[in-house]
Amino acid sequence: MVKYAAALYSGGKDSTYSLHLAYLQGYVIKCLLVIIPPKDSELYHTPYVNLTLLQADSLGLPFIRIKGDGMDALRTALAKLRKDYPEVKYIITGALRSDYQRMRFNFIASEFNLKVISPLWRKDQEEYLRDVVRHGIRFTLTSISVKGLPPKYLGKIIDERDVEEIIMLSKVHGFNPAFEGGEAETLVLDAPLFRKKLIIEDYEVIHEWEYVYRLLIKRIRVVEK
Amino acid sequence: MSEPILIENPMYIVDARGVRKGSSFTIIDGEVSFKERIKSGRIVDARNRVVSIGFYNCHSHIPMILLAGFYSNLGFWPWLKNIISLENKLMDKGILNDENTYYSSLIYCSLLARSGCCGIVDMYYYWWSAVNACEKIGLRIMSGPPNPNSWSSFRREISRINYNLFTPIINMHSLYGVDINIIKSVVDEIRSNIPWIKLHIHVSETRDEVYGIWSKYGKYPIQLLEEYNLIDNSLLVHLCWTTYSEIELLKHRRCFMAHCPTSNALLYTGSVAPIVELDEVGVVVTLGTDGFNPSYEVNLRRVAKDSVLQLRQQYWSAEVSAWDVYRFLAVNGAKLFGVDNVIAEGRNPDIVLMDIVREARSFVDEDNLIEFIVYSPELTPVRMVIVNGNIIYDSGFNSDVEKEITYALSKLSNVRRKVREFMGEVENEE
Repeated sequence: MVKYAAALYSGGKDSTYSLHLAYLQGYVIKCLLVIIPPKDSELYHTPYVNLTLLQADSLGLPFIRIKGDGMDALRTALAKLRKDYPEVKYIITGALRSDYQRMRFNFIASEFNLKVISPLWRKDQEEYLRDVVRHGIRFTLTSISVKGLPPKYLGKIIDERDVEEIIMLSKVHGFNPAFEGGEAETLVLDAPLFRKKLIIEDYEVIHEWEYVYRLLIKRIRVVEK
Repeated sequence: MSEPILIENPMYIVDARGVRKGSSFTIIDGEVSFKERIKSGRIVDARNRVVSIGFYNCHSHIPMILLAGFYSNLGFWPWLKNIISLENKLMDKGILNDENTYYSSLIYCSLLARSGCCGIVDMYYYWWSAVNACEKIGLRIMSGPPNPNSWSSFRREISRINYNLFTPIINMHSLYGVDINIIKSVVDEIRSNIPWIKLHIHVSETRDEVYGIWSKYGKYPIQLLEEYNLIDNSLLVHLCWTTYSEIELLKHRRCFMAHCPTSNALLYTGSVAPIVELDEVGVVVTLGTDGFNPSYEVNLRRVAKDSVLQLRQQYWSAEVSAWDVYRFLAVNGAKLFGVDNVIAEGRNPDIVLMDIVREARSFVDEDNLIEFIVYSPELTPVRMVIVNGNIIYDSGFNSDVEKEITYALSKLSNVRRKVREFMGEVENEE
């Protein structure tokens, strides 16, 4: 039985790594589902979701792109998925520990008789972060909104040393090392399934207030690998 | 008065306190003593044997072995729909009746007892038949009429039982099967008469169930139970789709859960119960086979092993150990039944004696014994089961029980033939 799937994709480390794992588990990814939410969305990852077009191109996958928020946006996306890809039976999500995300995705998916696969669900958060980097997901932070996470990670590709430092800082300051609580947002620039990689050529770190920082990407390029 | 028993020279003793080297002890009227000696009674040579507290099947539908093999390979909802429809038709035809449920219960209970089971929590039609089967064998049982609608009917039903190892329980099928307001009013009414009685209910077994409750009430199932003050002193079964916010509600509550990994997997309910988190917040986690249809399981230790396998895959870690599931199977099971879970002076635990087969003796030791008990039941087969101070199984049952089992088997093969014929008729009609 071929397991055809679509991946809910935001371009961050969680959705990229869950897609990577689903692929390794034998799911055939037919397309990406990209929700373009308003800035304050509780359900979807927001910064740089527009760059998912470049990432989809890097992955060589088509995408369904819907502007909106909440369960209605997902409902619209799944209705289109059902129509365009009737063979798809599974939705891949990057939910780690957020029931708000996991259950809402499941509820809407059940309306379309789709099964939700969350390969990262309930994994140990520290080990997860180590695995992401160890398994070749190259990402940077695009925003920080928690005390204790320094802005030096914005624009930098996170390596194994950074991971250990982030884990240590998470213990000192009491934040989730995988940023499950929205402590930081990430952007994947390269991954094993990417045929092309993204290179940030120019950026600026904006200090918004207190410990809130944002990466302003001024120029980005896609290059063949 | 039961016959005094001397358990002589066991290799190891395992209970809530862990594993230790064994020493001889007596069981007199159910009470353990390492000091007493017996003048007459049963002397059990326990060399090369492990003595453990008993195992408990904390969720089952015992008589469903009668329907073994029907509607296999279906997901939960089509399976449930078909099974309920079949049960109703069989009851109408008089094929599913109290006699046949008694004999099928006897078969299933005997198989469970042979694998070290000392007590069963049951929910099924003709519920007294399962109680009678447990009485015949000598097992503990918690049961009661399914979906009772008042204290008076509940009292009338349970008053037909006169068995000292029977404990009544309020069997409400589920939040989708019975209206929450009815559950609340009946539970309150029964508890005003029997304050300690437990509510036994399926909760969050499938995604569709949770979505249904959420759509109807705007709450997850445990949030709904909390609103109706139905969490304390309940036995919540399955909890596959429990959310973290619900786990918070279960923190430090007097609440039990029955994890049924084998039936959940066979019915592919799509999510594994968050056992690590539930255990951490103080929910008393126990194990259950669920019905033989769908679980095909009679050995609680294989259920325990399934639990470890699924949870390790789910969490990608060894957070769940053989010791954890032994706790669920034996230590917590005993807690649910209100039975002692230590083998110590003056205590009254149920007891299981397991052999360590010759081939395994050279590589089993105090440090890995629990792994052998949980993961390798074939290398540590059950030889004796003692419930409430009585030997109920000793590489076989007493001749009266064996005779009844033989009769039950011949009886059931006829019943099964009738069920198959009936199903053929129904299929032809359809």
